Amino acid sequence: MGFLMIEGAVKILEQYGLLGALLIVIFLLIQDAERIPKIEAYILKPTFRLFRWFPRRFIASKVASVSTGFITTHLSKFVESANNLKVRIKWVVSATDPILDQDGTVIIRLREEDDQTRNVLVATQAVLPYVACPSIRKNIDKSIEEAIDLTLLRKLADDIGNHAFPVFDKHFLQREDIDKKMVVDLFAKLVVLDKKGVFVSIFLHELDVLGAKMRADGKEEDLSEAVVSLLEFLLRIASRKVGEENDLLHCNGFFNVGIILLAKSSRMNADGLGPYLRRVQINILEGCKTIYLISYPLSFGLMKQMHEHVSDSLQLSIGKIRRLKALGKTEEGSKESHIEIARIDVSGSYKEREHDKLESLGLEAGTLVDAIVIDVAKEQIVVDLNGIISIVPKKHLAWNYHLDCGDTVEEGKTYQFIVDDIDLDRGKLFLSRKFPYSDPWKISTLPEENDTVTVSVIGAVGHDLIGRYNDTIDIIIPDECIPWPAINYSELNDLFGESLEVIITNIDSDERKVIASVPLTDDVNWEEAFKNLTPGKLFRATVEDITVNGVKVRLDNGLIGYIPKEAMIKAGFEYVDYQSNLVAGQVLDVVISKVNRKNQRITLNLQRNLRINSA
Amino acid sequence: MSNKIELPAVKDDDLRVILDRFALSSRVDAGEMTCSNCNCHIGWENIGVMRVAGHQLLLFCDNHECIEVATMKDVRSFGVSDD
Repeated sequence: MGFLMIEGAVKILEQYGLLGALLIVIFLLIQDAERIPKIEAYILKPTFRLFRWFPRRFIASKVASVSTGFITTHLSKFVESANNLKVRIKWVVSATDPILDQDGTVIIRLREEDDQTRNVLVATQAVLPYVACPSIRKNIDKSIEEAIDLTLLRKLADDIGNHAFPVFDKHFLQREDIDKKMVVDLFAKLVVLDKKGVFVSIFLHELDVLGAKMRADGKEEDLSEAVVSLLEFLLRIASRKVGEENDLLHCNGFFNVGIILLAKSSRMNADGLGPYLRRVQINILEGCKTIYLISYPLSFGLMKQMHEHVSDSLQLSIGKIRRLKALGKTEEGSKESHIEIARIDVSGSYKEREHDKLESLGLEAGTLVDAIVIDVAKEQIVVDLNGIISIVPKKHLAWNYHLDCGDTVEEGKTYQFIVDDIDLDRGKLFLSRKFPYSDPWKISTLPEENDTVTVSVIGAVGHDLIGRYNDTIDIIIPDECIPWPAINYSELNDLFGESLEVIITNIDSDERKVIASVPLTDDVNWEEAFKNLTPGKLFRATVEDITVNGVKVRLDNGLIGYIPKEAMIKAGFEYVDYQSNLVAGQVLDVVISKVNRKNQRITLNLQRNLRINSA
Repeated sequence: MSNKIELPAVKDDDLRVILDRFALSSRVDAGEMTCSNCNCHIGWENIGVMRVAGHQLLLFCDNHECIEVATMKDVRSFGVSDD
């Protein structure tokens, strides 16, 4: 949009010249009259620089526009006291100016210099006590106040441009008084917060709110410790490494803040919005009055989704999503990036409202309800039951195995659920789609132990196969019950949809598990060959299959054995990277480690490992 | 509706006129004035802020700490008005 406006402006200038320039200025002024000082400064700058014409007009316009612009851009969105605030310079030129009769009047000196940076910084410094968290200033130590102002001035210098930093450094940072070490320390920490985008958006906002509350309550207690504590909390969050666990709650009575970091991760792909929505509710239950959602570039889409759901489903008051400059981390170090922040303000009655809402539903375990599915992820879904949010894990969506929640439900549709449990104190509702009338263990005939049955392989959990019997009962075939002659690990996925004959080995009614094993193969007379198998016996073996877990080999007596990856790695040299260096058909010298007769499993070791051990 | 904060200011050329009102110009010329906060020597070049205190005018140097002290919010400094 801005680009189109500039393009339009250029066309007008080309066509109408000076008249066009005048039209553009008038248009800009009509759009926003507060642009007057800025436009005035632009117009007067050349004449001031060259001839020192209209110095007061130029300096006043320049200082006012830059200072106001800084307050509007950075402070007004987060600090109520800075909202809609404009700075104006009132010149004192005469000894009879009535302002000189007003006790307490402060008059700043503005210099007639080409570079107005210093004037801008001085003027802004003078107004900060009225703009940035004015109410809390009398409740905090002067060193904290000074550090906050210095950080804001540094931010202003950053806004002005690189040339402003030497001015800021020379006139504001160089200090000889060693008693001000605390200011220096605090300043350094606040700058870190600012670089991460949370100095104004969270820290100053919280101070502003608390200050207003203290003033409203007429309290004058010293909040320095609480403020420093909030600073340290935010610093820990800002400085956290990727994947590091941090306590994201800070509730101490003065500041009751929760932070939720939205990240695009494998967990998010699996769990969706559920954990984040739940985290919002938990934060409220644990006393947070304000919850900040923070997201990084890769998860900006997630922020948008969260914003909608928090507003619509949780019915909480959530502010606009603000995108702020921040330093992000890359492998090379830090680089300028952005974060998005949205603030949830929790009303005092929210907890009671949610408790009452849940209670008013009059639910009890076993009740059937209809709920809308509002989010579907791989491992869980989120449902909305008349405004109550519930997270339903995958295993509660159906009696039988399914790979993905999306296999059983669809987002946006209404489904029937059964209430498993209600925790009124924590505002939690537990739902399920495992209805008693569809329980396969009740409506179907279970096989019996030692039965040989045919199952359809429907999936795997790790290396354990899942087979479905009679289209109703799921049977687990554990990895250790799959004889290696029967199945290669690399062929597991090829089995899906295929029929497999299995022997039922165990039925656990409490755990609701049916365990089976794949029968032994008969390509070799196992019983005969088994007699000659003892741990320590040496063989030559031919490589048949190489997997991430080890190597499948055929012994020179025709039996299949297995060398675990640990044994391969222990052998060293080329065996460490056996997946790259071994080939099918290669011959290895092996020794038997153990034998599982029931499942035809022969575990092997490399003979060279025995030589290493004895060396 | 916007809040306007009016910041009284004086330009370099007008300093003498203002200080004359409080009979301070000659004292600055003579090198007798010191900063009301840090007590450093005040000259025409390093006057940073002035504050009216009764019938007197307190001078502060241009060190930012002294400016900070001079502009402390517990004194009535600026006019804040609604437009």
